[in-house]
Amino acid sequence: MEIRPAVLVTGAGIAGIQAALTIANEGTKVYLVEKAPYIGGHMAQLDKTFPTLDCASCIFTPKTVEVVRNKNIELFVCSEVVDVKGYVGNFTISVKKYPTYVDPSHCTGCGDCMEACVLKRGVPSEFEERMANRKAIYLAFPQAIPLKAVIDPESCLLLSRGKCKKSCVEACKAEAINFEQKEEIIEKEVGSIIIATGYDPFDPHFLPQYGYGLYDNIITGLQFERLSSPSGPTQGEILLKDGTVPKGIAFLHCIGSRDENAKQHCSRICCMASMKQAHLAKEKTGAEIYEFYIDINAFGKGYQEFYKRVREEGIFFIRGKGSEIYKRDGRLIVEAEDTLLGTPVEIPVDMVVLGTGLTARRDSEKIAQVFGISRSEDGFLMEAHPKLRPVATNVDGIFLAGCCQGPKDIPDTVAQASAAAAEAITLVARGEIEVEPTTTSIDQEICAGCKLCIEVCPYTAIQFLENKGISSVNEALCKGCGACTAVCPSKAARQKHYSQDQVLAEVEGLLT
Amino acid sequence: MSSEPKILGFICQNSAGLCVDFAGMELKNYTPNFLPLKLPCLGNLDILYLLKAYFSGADGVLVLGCSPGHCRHKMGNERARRRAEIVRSLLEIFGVGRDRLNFVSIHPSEISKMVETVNGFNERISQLGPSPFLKPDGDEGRFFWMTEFEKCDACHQCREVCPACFCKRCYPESFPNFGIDWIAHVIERCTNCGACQDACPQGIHLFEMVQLLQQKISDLNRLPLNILLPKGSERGGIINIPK
Repeated sequence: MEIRPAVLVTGAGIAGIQAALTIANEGTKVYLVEKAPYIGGHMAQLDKTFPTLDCASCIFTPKTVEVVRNKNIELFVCSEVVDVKGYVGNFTISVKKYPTYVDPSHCTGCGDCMEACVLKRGVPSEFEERMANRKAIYLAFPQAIPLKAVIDPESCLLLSRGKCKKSCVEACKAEAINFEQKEEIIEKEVGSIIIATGYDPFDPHFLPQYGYGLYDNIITGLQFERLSSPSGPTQGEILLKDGTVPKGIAFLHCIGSRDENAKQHCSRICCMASMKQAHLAKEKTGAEIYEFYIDINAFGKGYQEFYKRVREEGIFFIRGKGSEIYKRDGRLIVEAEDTLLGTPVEIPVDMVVLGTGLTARRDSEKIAQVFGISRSEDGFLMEAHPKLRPVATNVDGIFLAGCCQGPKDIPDTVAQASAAAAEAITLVARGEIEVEPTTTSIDQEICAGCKLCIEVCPYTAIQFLENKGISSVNEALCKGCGACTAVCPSKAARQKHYSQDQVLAEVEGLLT
Repeated sequence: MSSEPKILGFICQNSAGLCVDFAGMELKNYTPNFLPLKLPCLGNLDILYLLKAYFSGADGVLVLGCSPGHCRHKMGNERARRRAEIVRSLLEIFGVGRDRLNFVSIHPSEISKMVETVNGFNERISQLGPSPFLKPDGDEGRFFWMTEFEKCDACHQCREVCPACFCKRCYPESFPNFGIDWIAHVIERCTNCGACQDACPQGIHLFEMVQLLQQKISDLNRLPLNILLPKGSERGGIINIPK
C-alpha cells in the first residue's frame, strides 16, 4: 500500500524544528503545527545554555529562520491538531487554525499597533513568564518568528467587551488588522507523524511552603532566564523587584521533582540549569550564591566539569533540599537541613530561584487521545519500548521527539528529534508498506448477491459482478476490518484468520 | 458454591486490544476471569458470536471497542454497539438479564479505565451468579421464552417461508438452537410479515418474540440504518432477490 509523501510535525520547539528541518532537507513535505504565535518553544526563552554557555538565541535563531525559508515546510502557527484519522502511511489530520485577527501576508511586524493599543497597563506576557506586560495586540518578542503581530481575544477590548476605539487599526499602515477572521479547520494528508509537544514547567503554587506568589523576588528558573536574557524585561540585569541588585541569591533544586508530594521523577536538567544560572548570577551581580541540592545530576558531556568550575567560583553548595521560605527583617530566609554537617541552616537572601521541574503538559491527555497513543504513569507520552524503541509509539507511523516523551536537555532533544525524523523519512522513502494479511474473500458458490457487503464496506473494496450476479472483493483495497463478514447472511464473505469457524472455535476454546 | 464467573471479552485490536497489552506491560492486574478475544475490528462482530458465547457457558460478555467516531474502519464500533444492544434485549426477554452483556468504549490510552471496567463487570457478574442461559430452572414466568424455544426441533419451516431468507447456504443451521439463533440472525432484515409463526409446526410464538424484540430495539432505529441495510430499502429492508 502506498504511503503519502508528507510528514506532520506538531510542536515547533527545538525538537519539532530539528525534526522538520531534517525531513524538509531530505526533500519531503512537512506540515509544522505550533500552538503559540511564534516558533521556538521554551528554548527561545532561555538566556544561555549549559555547559558551554552559548547564547541560546544565537544558536537557535538561524534554525527558526531556516524553517520559514524552507520551501518544503508549511508552517501553521496559532494552530492545533484536533483530529487524526487513518493509519500508518495514510493519516488524515485536521488542523484548527485560530484567528489572529491580523492578516500575516500584510503585517510587516513594525510594532506600531502595539504602541497604539489602548490597553494602558497591558496584561502579563506569556513569553516573558509574566515578568513583563504586553498589549492586546503584540509581537511575543522582537526576534519572534514569524514576525507577525497577533491579537489576544481575551485581553482585546473589542473582542472581549465589544467596545474599543480601534486605534490599532488606525495605526496599522499595512492595513493588516481584520477583526472578521474566523477559526478554520484545514485537512491535510500525511504518511507519518512526529509529536514534539514539549513540557510544562512545574507550577510552584502547588507547594505553598516556598512562598511563590506570596513574597516578591521568589521566581522560577524560567523567570530567571528571562531576567538574565539581554532581550528580557531588564535587558539582562539581575534586579530585584524594586530595581536594586540582590546581595544574596539562593537556588533551590528539585522543586516539584523527586518529591513525594509533587512529581516523583527527576527532571534531569534542573541541576545543570540552576548551576548555570548561579554562574550567570555570580558573574553579573557578585552576590553571595547558595545552591540547595539533594544530589547533583551532572549527566552529560562536559557537565561534571562545569559543576567543578562553578564550585570553584565561590558558590556555596549546601546538600539539603530547601524546606521552607519565609520573610524576616525584609529578607527572605531559606530553611534547610545541611545533611553533610547534620545541622539545620537558615540562610538570609534577597532573591530565591526555584529550580522547577519539567512536567507533562496539562493537555497531554488530550494529545494522547487525539493521536490514539498512550501515556506513562508520570503523564508523559509513552514510547513503544523504553530501551529499543524510544522514538516510536504504539501506533505505527507516529513518533515522539523531545520532552513530550520525558524530561530532556537540549542535546538529547535534538538527538531524539533527528532520530524521529529518520524514522519518518524511512517510512516515506520506502514508498509502500505491507498491510496485514487479514483480507476478505467471497465464496462464489455461496454468495447470493444480496449486496449487503457492498453497503457496509468502508473502503468500497467490493464490487458487484453483474454477469455472475455475485459480489467480489478487491483485495488490494481491502483493509481487513471484516465488516462484510458480519453482515453477510450466508457467510460467503470470509476473512482470513478470522473466519466464522475460527472465531466460534476460539469462543468455545476459551470458555471450556 | 459461588464459583468464579467466566467472562468473554470481544475486544477491538486497535483500542482495547492495545490496552490489554499495556496493562500487562505496566503490571496492572485485572481479573483472570476475563478472557479477551481480539477481533481486527468490532465491525467483524457477528450477532451469533455473542449468542455462541452464552451457549458455550459464558456468564457475561464484555464488548470493548473504540470510542464513537474513532473507529479506524469508520463505523465498526457503531455496528457492534447496535448488535450488542439487540443481544442485550434478547437476553432480557429470555429472562437472563441484559446486564450480562455490556458494550464499553475504550481509548488506547485509557488503560486504567479498561482495568476498572473489566473488574467492575466481573463484580457485577459475580453478584448475578452463574448464567441461567443453559439451565433455566424454576420461575416459569421469567424463563417463558426460553422454554418456548426449547420446543424448536430445527425443522427450518420458518426459514422456508421467510422473505428475508435467500441464502444458498444457511449459516445459523449449525448453531445449537435454530430458533433463537435464526431470530437473532434475521432480526435486522425482518419485514414483519409474520409468516414464520404461522409456519412453525411446534407453535412457537416466533412473531410475538420478534415484535417484543423490535419494541425494545426501536430506539436503535434512529441510528443510521443504511449502515446495515441496502439503499432504497424501506423499514426492515426487503431484499428482492429471486429465490
